[in-house]
Amino acid sequence: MNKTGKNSLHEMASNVGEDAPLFSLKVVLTGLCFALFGLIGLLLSVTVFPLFYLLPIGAQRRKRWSRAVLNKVFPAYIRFIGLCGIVKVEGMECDDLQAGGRLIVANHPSLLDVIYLMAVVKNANCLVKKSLFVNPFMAGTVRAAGYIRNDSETLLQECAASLAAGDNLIVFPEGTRTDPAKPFRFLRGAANIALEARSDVWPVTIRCQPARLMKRQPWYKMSKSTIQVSLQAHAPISVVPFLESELPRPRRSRQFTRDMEAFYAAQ
Amino acid sequence: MHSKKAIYERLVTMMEELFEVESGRVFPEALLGEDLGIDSIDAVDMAAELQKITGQKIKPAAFKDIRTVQDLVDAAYAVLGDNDVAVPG
Repeated sequence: MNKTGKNSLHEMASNVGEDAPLFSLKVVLTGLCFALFGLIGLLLSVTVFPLFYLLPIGAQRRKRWSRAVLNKVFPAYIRFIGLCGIVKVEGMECDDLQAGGRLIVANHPSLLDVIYLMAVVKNANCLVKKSLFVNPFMAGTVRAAGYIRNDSETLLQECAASLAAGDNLIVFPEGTRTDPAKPFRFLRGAANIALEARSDVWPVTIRCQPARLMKRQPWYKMSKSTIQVSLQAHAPISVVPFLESELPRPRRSRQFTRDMEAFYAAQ
Repeated sequence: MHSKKAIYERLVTMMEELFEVESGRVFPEALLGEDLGIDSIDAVDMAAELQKITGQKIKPAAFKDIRTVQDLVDAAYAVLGDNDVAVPG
């Protein structure tokens, strides 16, 4: 338990609840919901997104429009999987995250985290692993929306430019889903982006109960009960002390990263 | 004069000052990424620092083939060997 009386993020990850049997309506519905997600991605990639490429609107507006489409589609998708009893999401009204130019970081307990965040955050940009750029179901979407490849050589500059253009940039500093067996260990990308862009970091915590769709849990290992997800936006962590620090940049990014880890460990 | 040993010792100092790698953790075969926690973004700062040591321009891209501390020493030595520049400091 932490001081707010909630279980810590790692404590929650050990509560997996009761298994739904492999051959149950729940698992079938879960599979169908994931298939639906792929289908939506594919459909958008051959209809709306190509249209945006054809219109003479320029890359910037094409990206914004594509993100706006996703910002409408994802809440609908979340409502749908809620009706199916898969996941119920609370805390979708994070007004603090709407201002634009915000660097948003979040813990990454489950597979669907980025969908929850993009449903909430308008004009959301995101760091995306390279494999999604060649995934037939996702490639059209991640390219149209202009997400940033996490293996890009100009990663920091692209992220800073995106924030300067008013995008809200979502980063999962763990780089992968949370490993409940280990303490928080963040990559330094988020801190380095903050330093490069001279941008505060806006932390969001994501809680999932029971802990399903997590790292090393295949999608068909579902719980009997609906997964309750809650998003919570927190006050920003200021970048200023790290900009003013006398330390060389690599050490400032290390300190900043440790502070972020400590913040999440205390949640 | 610059020997591989001198370069190595300078690197050990640099790793501690720049990347919080305690000198006890550095050994020639140590992998920069896995063992010492130096990431691709650090490579930019490392290149700048090596530039100071060698007096030669080094692009971060040159780090692609460098995996261990020894690789780094060899690379710096090669640069210095080509150009007779004294190790400052």
